[in-house]
Amino acid sequence: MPKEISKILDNVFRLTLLCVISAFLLSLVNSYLEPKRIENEQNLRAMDYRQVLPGARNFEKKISGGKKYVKGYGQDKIPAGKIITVYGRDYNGYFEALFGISEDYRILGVKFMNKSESTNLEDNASKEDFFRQFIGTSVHDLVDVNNKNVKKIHGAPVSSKAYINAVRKAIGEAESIDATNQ
Amino acid sequence: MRQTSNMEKPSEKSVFSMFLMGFWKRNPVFVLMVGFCPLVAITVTTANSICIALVVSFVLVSSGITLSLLRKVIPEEIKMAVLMLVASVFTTIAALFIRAGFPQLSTALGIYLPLVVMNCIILDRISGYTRNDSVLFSLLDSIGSSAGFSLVLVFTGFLREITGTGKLAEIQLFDKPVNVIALYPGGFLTVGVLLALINWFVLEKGGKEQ
Repeated sequence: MPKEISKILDNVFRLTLLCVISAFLLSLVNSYLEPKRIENEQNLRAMDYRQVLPGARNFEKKISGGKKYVKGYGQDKIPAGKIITVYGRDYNGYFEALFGISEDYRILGVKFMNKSESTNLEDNASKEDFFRQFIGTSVHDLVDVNNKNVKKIHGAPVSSKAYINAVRKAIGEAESIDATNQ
Repeated sequence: MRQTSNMEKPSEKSVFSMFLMGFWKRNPVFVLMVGFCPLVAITVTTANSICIALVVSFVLVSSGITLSLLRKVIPEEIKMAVLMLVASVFTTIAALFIRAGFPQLSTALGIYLPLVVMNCIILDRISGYTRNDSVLFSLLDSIGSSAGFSLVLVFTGFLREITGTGKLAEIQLFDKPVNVIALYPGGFLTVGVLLALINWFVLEKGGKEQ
């Protein structure tokens, strides 16, 4: 066998061996850490649910009319409301927000899910501050984008409009889920 | 850029001077001017900075030791592929660990966590360890470089968190922060000011010694 070919085969063998060892090592680490990751993510998700639907203790994922939502239950399995996930687009890009909505369509809590790797001028805290004005608001009071009583995020008219539309969408979805279930 | 193979061996240098070489004399940020991507993008908060500093240190030290041990069985032709493979394995292990243990931190670091593998500091330092450096040299050099880079990261994160958000560890210290410092341009400004201060200090010290 020519010397060059034998050298190439030798290099291929060494590299393949290192790749196999690396893959084995990574699969070992992953199999050890994956259950912990799933458990931590579920705990975090449950904390988020409790934050947006304060009266609920247990949560159940449901689908109605092709729409996914989470139903919250308080003591004695009394329904406490729904959690609707709304996806939208603001000035900085796409966002995902959880809305806790009571059985009489009042907003009980809002949480932004996408924590960006960089800080924007309007960070998640200022968004959540903005949404606090809607807590306790019902669909019948809501929500005209041009309503002067609705405070906008200072210097972010595009995002303010997107978030108000997200509030409307969340309440609209909660209503349509109930209509489908009836 | 420094070539480690040209450096003296551990026996000829004290342990402390080898550590100091990576930490200060060849500081990755202030002297080699590498690793600016995480420095500008991630150092918005002190917690993020500490996390990315720990990941870079883990990858650098582990890769340094591994490559130093493997240096006799890695032919020149596949050296670059092996460097990338080893650095990727340790970066993936760190990313899996953070994703499992600290999911919020993992989300906050986003793409910059797996991108550690492409960090110039790691590529620059570990490429030297496959030449003819001993394991001890690799260990001390990687610890020194990691410590130098970590110090700059954490200090920059601390400064930017306080000035850019007015907070430290979620505690509001003052109102009306300078928001631009928390954005990317603020990262460049902060690093620029720190570089100017370091250069001024070094020149002053040099002038006095003369």
